[in-house]
Amino acid sequence: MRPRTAALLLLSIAGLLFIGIGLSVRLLRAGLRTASLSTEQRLRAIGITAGQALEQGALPTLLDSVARRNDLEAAYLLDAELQPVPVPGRSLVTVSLLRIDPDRALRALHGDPSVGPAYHLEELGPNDEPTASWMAFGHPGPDVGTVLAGYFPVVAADKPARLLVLEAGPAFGALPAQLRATAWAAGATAFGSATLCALLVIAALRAGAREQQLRVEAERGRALREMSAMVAHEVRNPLGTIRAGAELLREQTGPSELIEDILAEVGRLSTLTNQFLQFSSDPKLCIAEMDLGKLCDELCVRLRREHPDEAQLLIKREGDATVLAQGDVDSLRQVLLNLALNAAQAMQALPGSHTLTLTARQLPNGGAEVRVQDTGPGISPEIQKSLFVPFRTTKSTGTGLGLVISQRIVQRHGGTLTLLAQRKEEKGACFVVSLPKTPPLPKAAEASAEGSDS
Amino acid sequence: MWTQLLKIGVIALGLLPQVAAAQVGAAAHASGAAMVSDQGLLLDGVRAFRSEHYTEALGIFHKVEAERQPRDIGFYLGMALHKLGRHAEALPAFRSAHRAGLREPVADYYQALSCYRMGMLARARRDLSALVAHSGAPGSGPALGPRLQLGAGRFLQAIEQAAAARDPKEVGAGGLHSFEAALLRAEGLLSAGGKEELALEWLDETVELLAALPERDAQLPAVRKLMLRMREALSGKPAEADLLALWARVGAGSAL
Repeated sequence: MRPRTAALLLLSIAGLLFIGIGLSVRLLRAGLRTASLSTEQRLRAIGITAGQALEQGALPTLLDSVARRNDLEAAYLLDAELQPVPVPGRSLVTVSLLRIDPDRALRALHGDPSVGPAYHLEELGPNDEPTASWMAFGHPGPDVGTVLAGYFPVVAADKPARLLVLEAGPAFGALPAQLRATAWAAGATAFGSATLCALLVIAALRAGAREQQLRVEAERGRALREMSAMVAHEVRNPLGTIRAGAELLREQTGPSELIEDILAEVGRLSTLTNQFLQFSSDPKLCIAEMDLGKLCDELCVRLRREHPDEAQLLIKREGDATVLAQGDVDSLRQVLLNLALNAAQAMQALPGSHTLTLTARQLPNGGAEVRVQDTGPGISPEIQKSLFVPFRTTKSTGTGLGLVISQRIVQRHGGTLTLLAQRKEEKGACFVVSLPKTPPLPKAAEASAEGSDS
Repeated sequence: MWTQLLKIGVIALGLLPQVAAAQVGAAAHASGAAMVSDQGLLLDGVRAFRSEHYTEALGIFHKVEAERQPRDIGFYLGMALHKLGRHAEALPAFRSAHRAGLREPVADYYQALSCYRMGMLARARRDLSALVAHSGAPGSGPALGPRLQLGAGRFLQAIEQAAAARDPKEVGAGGLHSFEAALLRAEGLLSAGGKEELALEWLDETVELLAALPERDAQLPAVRKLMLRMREALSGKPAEADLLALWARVGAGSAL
């Protein structure tokens, strides 16, 4: 499913859930309001409502439903002589007047409804059988067995007065607590579900935005590479002609400053076109087992040769002597050299003595890592944002492709090239090249490099 | 206040149709006043019962029985006798109401309690099981309330515990009272004379225990013999019908 579709779907679900929350809140309020009433008040409310329903023609069988829904002990009708009103279709189940408070019942028949104690149901107690098992059976507390009764007049125009009796035991009294718990649970569930859904929607939207950004960046990278390739090809041939012409002119007229300037600029442009070409195409990598430690040693030798004054720039090699990795040795040499030269240039711009450290380590997971650390001015946060963006450079003679090409090479190895986060008190910059134990298949590596290419 | 209560009532009832909010309290029909003229004595008994003056209540109920012979008077007598601890008399009283085809769940519960206190555990278990099973059955009338169900359930559990606590060598089938003891008790009461109705109660217990006996066929002649004796004693009395019902339940043949 596409992220946008998923987001829309989740958004719809979240909308429905929020509607559900609204309804749950209303239910919760109604439930809590009901639960806050006393048992007597609730029984009275039910009795009045049911009595009115009976007056308006509801069948007495309604009372079965009333009793069942409210966990009542019984709900029945008595006639004016306090005899049970027969209900069609029922067997002859009766109620004795011993369950009834006759005085309150008679008052109710005269229009004075009331709710009060009706009878206490006797249970077996410890005296019934003095054994341990009887004691375990327990004896109910004083109020457990008490049954309340509500008496409500039922007065229909065409019928003699009747009396509605509702008997309520402990189960009815326990309903508010159950209702309260259910209402809170429903509200909490709806709120939790809606929150979860909202989080999922936000995550899906973020993922969609990220994917879109990667797609745009990949598109732009592709366009840049195509343009670079075109420019490099167009410039390369005329450069060859200019170089040949300048060299011919030098042979005919002898060396001159002007001709040397022309040849130097041609050389610089030639380097530039080569970088363009490398950026626009991915030369095939020859992956083989190699020793990154040895490569670092080689680079240090070369750098010391180029910067012999240790007082000005000290080249240090740290870490493991041998660091095995799977990679293309020439490409990785280019990467490390690029990082080291960048660092050396940065430090040269700053007076004083500096140190460039190359640290190679074998990682516990079998991968390898090389750190190139300098004591230069460091990289400002603003520049860090566009560090790997093509053609962005702070150097007057740079192309802005060195780090981009280096990153691409490392990514094609399945690794990462990152700038280590610096603390404020730390000097310089530290780039980390991390390589996995096993490089990915070429296609996967290309996809990875393509996705992060900008 | 009334409107608020009415709304809550509708919610609690689950009644979807809107019920018009009309004032009820003062709308009692005049016909409500014309009543209970011949219930007055019974209501006096009920008032005495509710005030825990059980002897007085019993006297009034006997008077009502003599004057009007209402079909359900057995429940009133049985309950009063139960409260007085006269379980041997309470059981025939409850039985007379049942004979009229009436059922009263609370009275049935107390009848089972009387059975238990008389030592008729098999009957108590049977009656309580029937009471719980009967509840809520289609066409059975108002379902047994949760309070009564809870009480009956605890009661049944207590009977099982009591049965388990007894020595299995001295008890009969199902761990309850022994068949032989119940039979002897019924025979003894019948021989004593004037206690036929109580003998019938014990016969009921005997029949209940017999049904669970592995050697049922071997014991059947003794039960049959007792029933024949009891038939002579109860001849022409209302309890004879109950004896015939027991005879049919045992399947003791047609000689009766």
